Amino acid sequence: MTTRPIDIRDQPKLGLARTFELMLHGIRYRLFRSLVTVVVVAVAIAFMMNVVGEGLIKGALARRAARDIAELRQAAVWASRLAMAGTVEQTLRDLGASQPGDPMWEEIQAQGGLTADEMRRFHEQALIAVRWLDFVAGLDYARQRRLAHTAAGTELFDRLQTAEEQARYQRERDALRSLRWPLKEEEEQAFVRDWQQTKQWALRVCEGRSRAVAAVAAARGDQAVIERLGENNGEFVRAIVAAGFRMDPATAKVVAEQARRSVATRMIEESFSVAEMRRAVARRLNMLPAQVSSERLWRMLGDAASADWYAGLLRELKLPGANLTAADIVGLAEHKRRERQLERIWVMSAGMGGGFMGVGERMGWLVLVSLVVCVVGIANAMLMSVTERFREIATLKCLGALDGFIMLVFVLEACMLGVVGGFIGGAVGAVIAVGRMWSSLGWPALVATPWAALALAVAASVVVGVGLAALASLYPSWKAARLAPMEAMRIE
Amino acid sequence: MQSLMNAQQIEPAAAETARAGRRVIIRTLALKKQYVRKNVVTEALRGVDSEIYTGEFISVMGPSGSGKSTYFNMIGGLDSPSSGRVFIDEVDVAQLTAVEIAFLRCRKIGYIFQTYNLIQYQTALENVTTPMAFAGVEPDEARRRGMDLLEIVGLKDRWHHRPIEMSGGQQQRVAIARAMANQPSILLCDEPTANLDLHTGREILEILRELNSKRGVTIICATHDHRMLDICDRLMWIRDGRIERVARRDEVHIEVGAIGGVTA
Repeated sequence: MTTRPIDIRDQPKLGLARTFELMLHGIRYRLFRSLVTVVVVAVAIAFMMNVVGEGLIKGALARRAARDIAELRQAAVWASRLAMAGTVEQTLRDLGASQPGDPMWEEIQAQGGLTADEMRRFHEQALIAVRWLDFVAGLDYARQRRLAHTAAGTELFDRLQTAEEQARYQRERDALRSLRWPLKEEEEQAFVRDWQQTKQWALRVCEGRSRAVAAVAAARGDQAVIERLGENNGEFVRAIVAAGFRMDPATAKVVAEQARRSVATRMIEESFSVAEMRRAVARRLNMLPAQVSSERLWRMLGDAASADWYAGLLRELKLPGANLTAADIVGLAEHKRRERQLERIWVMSAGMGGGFMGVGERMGWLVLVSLVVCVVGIANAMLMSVTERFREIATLKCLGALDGFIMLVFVLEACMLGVVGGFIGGAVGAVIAVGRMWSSLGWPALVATPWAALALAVAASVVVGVGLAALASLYPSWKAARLAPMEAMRIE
Repeated sequence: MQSLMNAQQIEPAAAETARAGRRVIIRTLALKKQYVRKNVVTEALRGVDSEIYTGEFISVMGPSGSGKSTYFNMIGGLDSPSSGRVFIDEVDVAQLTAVEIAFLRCRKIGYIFQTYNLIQYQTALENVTTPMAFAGVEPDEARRRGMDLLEIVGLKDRWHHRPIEMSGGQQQRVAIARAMANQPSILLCDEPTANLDLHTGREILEILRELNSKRGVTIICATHDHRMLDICDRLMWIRDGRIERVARRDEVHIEVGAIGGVTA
């Protein structure tokens, strides 16, 4: 029998399915090691996902809370607007926050007697002023002093009108170049050049408003604004509108209700400062009078029986608020509780929103470190896997495996672990994030949770897991692919 | 000088096989290999000229450190020489690309290792069909051929066993079936019986002998096993990186006493 002649052709590439099968076999055989690697990936991804998830939830919560709080405080805002003429800075801020067509925009235009074109330029200047002022106010005290000296708020712009002050400011600004300045130097200089005009507009608006405030004051007599607002008679609202404030009927209704509530709340709190009342409450709560805080009182009033008892006491002592029913008081307590909760959410989520996806700089750094550790962990596991399989890899090469195939097996193996680890980690991290938010803030956290964004983040974490695994397996699999086939001959 | 002497030693056998009409399947020319590690140069092969003929059963013998393994790696296309050439069926291995070498390893040469080197997580049949997959054989065809090969080595009924469930002899038989998967012309056996007991070793050798005689496969066998003397066509002794001696079996039988130490 004759042997066939040797003719050398290219080796066919192995199908992906077959490669995958071989890789799965390998994982199954080294199940424990693979599990450990998966856990390493999962822990790192879970940490990342937790930070990102909490950032997302807190961001959503903060936005909601800010909106709700603004909603709840309409009466207080109106009360102060109707009672005080306002400052240049307040005018700039009001304008900066409004858009053409807003009631506030129209009000400012009317009160300042400005043309549409002037309003547009005034608005632009106001936006710059707000960004600048916010930036300076956000600096620490020493830096504020260096930049603005003793000037507070818009006084800074007044200072910068002289050439030497401007030069001094410029020197300090150069020294603080590393800060993230919201405006370019040219923008600042242009703003300062136009400041006199801007300030004049703002002062005109302030004047117009003080005239309007005077008109409102005449309409309310010597009654407090908030009380007068709470009476909700059309007459006062008409007077307000006539004075030049833009208050539409719907707002008027909401404001009236909030004003009534605010007045009633103040009555309860004032009644509590009466010594007799305080003693009675303390006895009921079995505490010392000095220990009963207003928060404790409100918590007690949330209960209908206590509210009834308190209403009776109010009538008995003929205190203001004697006309409040138990149901009124319970409603007020409930409102107070909600307000407190919103404030707590606001405070808790105050630091959020900066950086990438609401992850602060510090947390971003920690996440990065955890991901690097994860990469090192996977690389180590893969290197061990390669070292352990020296003979097997070499044998496969003797049997005709191409370098690319060997490399693919290992990269695929790592990617597989990355998919599983990434998914587990993402899910666990998301659950922990939601759980933590829920336990500290209660149901509002769950309501505010942006589920779609969270699901997207889990998907992204799978991608990150695969990416990390692929990255970490590059060197080990390259090492495996380059292994000399004669290693198979070696005897340990 | 040395290589000339070697050539002279090879001469009678070469002349004889040439008369028998056999072709040279592996030829080495002035093969040298140096390993440099931390500035220490180790000369593993110091110029080896050899010819191995199609269809013969040749045993390569030599003490450990003689360069026998290096020689094996060279003729198996597993390592490249420092200088000199290796021709496998008149093809210069040094001229081949990585992919072509993979093709060569896959279909032209079957490797049998002292430690069997079966893939631990595959069944006997999967082990046998793996090289076929690398050669692009359809799974069904591969399965059929794999079963045939397992039958030849007498393990047809254990096709679904994993290496861990088999004895050393059975594992080596699976390894032989695997080496034969793509009908190679050459079987390169590195001490195939060293880890086996006398009886099992003999069975393995018988399988090899049968493959050699029935299928015409060229078998190159590195060994310490004196039983090899009974079945091989020729013997080659390597010592200190050189071919010390090449002889036909019938010549060796007479001289066994004289060679002492090498085979005994």
